[in-house]
Amino acid sequence: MKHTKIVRTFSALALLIASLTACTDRFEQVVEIDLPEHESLLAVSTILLSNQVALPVLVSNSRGVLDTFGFNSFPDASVRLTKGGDEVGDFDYESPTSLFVAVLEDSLGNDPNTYTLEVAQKDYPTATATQQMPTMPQIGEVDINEDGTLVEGGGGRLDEIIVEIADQGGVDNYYAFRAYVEGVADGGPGEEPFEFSYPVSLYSNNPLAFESIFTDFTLLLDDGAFDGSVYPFNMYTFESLPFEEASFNDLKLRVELIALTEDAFLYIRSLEQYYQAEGNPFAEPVNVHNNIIQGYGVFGLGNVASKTQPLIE
Amino acid sequence: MKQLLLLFFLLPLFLSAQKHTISGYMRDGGSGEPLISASIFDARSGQGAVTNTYGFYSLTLPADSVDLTFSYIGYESQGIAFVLSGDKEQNVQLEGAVQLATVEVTSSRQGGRIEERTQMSQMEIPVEQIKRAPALLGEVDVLKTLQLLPGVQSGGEGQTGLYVRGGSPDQNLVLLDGVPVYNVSHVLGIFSVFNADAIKNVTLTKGGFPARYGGRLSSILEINMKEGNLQEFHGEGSLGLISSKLTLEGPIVKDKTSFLISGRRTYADLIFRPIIRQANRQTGEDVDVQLYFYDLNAKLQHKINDKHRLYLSGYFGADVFGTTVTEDEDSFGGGIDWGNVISALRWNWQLSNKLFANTTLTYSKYNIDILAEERSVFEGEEESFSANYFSGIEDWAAKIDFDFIPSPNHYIRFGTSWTNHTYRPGALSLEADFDQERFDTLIGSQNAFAEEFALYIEDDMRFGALKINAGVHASAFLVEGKFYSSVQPRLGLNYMLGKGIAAKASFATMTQFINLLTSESFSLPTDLWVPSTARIKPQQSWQVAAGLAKTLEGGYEISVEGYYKQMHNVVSYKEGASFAFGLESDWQDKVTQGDGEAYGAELFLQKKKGRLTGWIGYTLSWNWRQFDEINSGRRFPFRYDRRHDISIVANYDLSKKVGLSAAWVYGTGNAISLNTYEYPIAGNASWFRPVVSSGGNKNAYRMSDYHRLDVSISFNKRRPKWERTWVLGAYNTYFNHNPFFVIQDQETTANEDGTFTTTPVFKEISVLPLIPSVSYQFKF
Repeated sequence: MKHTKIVRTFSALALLIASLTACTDRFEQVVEIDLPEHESLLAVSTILLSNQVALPVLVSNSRGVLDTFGFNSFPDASVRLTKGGDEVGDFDYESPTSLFVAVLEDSLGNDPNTYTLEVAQKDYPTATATQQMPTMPQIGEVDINEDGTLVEGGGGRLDEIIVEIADQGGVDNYYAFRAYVEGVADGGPGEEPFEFSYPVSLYSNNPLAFESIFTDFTLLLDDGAFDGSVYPFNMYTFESLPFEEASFNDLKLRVELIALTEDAFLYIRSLEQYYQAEGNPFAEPVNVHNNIIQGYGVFGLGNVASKTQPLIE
Repeated sequence: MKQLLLLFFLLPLFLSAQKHTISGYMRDGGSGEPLISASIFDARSGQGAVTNTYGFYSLTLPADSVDLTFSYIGYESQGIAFVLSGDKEQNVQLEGAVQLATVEVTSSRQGGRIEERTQMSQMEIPVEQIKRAPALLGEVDVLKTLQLLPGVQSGGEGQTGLYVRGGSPDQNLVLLDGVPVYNVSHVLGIFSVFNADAIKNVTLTKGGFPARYGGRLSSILEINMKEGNLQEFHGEGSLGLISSKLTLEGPIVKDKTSFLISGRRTYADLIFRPIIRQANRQTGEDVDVQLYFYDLNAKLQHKINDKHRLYLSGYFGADVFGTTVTEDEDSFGGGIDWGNVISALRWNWQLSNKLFANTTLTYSKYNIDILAEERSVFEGEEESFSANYFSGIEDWAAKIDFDFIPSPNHYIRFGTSWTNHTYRPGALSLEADFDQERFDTLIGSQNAFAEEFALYIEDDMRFGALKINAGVHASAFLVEGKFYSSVQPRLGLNYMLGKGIAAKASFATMTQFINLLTSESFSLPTDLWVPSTARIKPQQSWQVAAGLAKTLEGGYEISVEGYYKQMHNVVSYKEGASFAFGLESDWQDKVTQGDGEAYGAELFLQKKKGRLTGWIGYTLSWNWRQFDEINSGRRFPFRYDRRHDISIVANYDLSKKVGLSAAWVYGTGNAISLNTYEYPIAGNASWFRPVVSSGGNKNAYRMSDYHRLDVSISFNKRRPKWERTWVLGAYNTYFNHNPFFVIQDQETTANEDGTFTTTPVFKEISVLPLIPSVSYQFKF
């Protein structure tokens, strides 16, 4: 009996002392995780479209997450874009934005040429990437319905835009949509009328599509489910389209269907996932797509087809 | 085909000519509880049998003198000798042994020595061991004890999730009295829903699945509740730091009808509620806190006659976390509630001395509700807003299982089942009533309905030194007009090599029609159970295992097993997806399917007798996943890929009154994804400069290795009518900072010149320090 009491008292005392000691300890510890040393490389980012005249290219550098140096701008870097081996434009450094920009006389063009982007800077290996301009996409019928089939939370119906994609069969196609309202506004008393254009935000409940918030490619999808067929794609907008605006003339909706390269599509998709996951402890981690050889970032192309439909018949 | 089946059933009958059958039940003499896997052995013929889950046995022997021994671990054996001249019914009641109880984790329910059993990769843990293992906050936990077995890994620190041979928690079929339990944890995974006082036995099968099992890829965990004492009224319970429990059982009509009722409740809210109210009194706010979980197990047993028994069992458990703050006429609050309701009606029918049937009707429901609401009065008008997220699953099922024992060399099981599933994959209900606006809307995925069917037949055969368990499990699933079917062959082999060493091998294919959408990082009650659909294909696996087993001198037993498993169509959230955002989209848009591969070896060395008992378990394993849409399609280690996993469990009886227990665990650190570099993706003129962080492969890095020692000491006092035990325990005794997650942070250091240097660092955050516990247990 006495033995049992001693053991019991000793056990209780030992637990108490150990617990009090533990309470003073911190719940975090700095650990050295054996990360491979990061070799800083050029960071290059641009997605160029066939109808673009000004071509901006970001040139900076990467760093390891444990590095303490900053991101650089490189006015002394050289940016070279070739189209089928021929150089396209002269890229100049613009200090406010830290971008290299080439301004062309004509747009990049719709021909399915091979483009190579080459960025050189004396302290870094030359970063390169090659893309082939996708074949120009084919837009079929465009149908715009005021107060379409989808009902919003408040009970009102959303304006609906149905665009037919005439998909080229046998190849993987990646599409993006954009839309703009265009028209002519009265300039006011004594002033000339002027043309205007503003982008329309698009939404789709089609499970094949995803929205891009962080780029200006509003809705994206691939042709996995409709390869080689004419696919009617339904989109909606929460902004009421100006079907009855007395002060504007010649109101119309311009819909752009952009055929993106696979790298551009994967980059945009992973970027959306990355930012949506940021700060969400429950979200799965995301690696942003990268196609720059000896560098990081993206070089992508998009071939733009557009169709304009009057909003007021 | 029909003729073949007829021959399959009748052949053993022809072979058993001039033989008679002894059958009956083996039960605990004190309580009438059936003894599972108890053995019957005839010394004259050398033939034997074991009891099934309901204590029934059947042994067919030549017409001759027999010398039977009925035995069960921890009980006094009983011998009976007689001349067998016809079929005989022999019910046996064994009395508990007087000496210190041995604590044995058997590797199979088939009784006898490990080398004698055909079944491999199956572990049975006695409730005594579960109760004896040191426990977090003194709260005895079935699932945490299972995590100490080889081939079974825990997830995060303190979590109850089971990761069996490379599988994920949704690949475990957890059955309480034959009914699936969908959410097995309380308090965000820290405690399991199983109250050890109400449990009779626990069996985990992690490979070599006999045909009677199906529906999940990685394991079947069977937990059976006690039936209730048919002889005497008894009770037991405990008072602990966080909860108390009480179990009562006894006869309603002696030897005919019994009841068992067991309840458990935590009381953190009862302790904190008055403190919080007092603290908020000065602000004029009334704060009502709800913070508890509870379980209620109940069972009725009715013996109609020697051939028929009925059982009605139920489980009701829930977690309730919520706060309501009231100030004058305004109030706001919210909370999260989740829980299971489970019920089973079972009918045991001994059709003959060789055929036993068990028919079960079951109901299982799991629900989670997250509520946020606000009510206020503005200019005399009441305004309100509420948001309620809810999801869950509900099953109705019926099944019938037959045990047919034509001869000692054949044990045939066959049966069929049907389940109706209703899935509620997550929806958000919003209600608002303001002066200007009123709305009542529902956002989220539609309910899904499915029918699941299964059919199986298996035979445990013996041919001299070779034992074979062969069978086939067929299952089908009808959902959204899509019909899936699967035929799954199963095979288990045991060959005695001599010197008491058995070589075992098994092959099993499994199909799973249900998926749990869960984050790899956390297990939460919000994890969604969703079915296979026209878009989401059923998960499938095949597994081969081989091993050696032997019983050594001095009460030691050793087994070594190697396994290789492939899994297909396993489900994961896509990169960046989670349940918490994007409710407006279908859950199917957030997931992707891929493959898994797991292989490894397990060693299990157990000491079953003497003052020192316990085991050493070691697992060496590899565990991979591959998804086309994750990690750029490259194969990556599963988060719980654990190269080494060691458990050492020891119980030592200092005396009849004082017992020591200790468990030490070690595991390779969990795999984690870390961003290793970052770069800008836009120019300086942007209103902010977007930078993305990236890294190498998914799960390419490791947290620090995990290790922990838990100890407990128990002081027991017995009196003729009652028994009490004080248990003092400590979790994580040497306070190892076991990492729960890793964050990237800044470390600031002072320089000699008075300036400061800030350096980016990785920090591991641990959550459970040394935690002492004390509990008082009693029995009467």
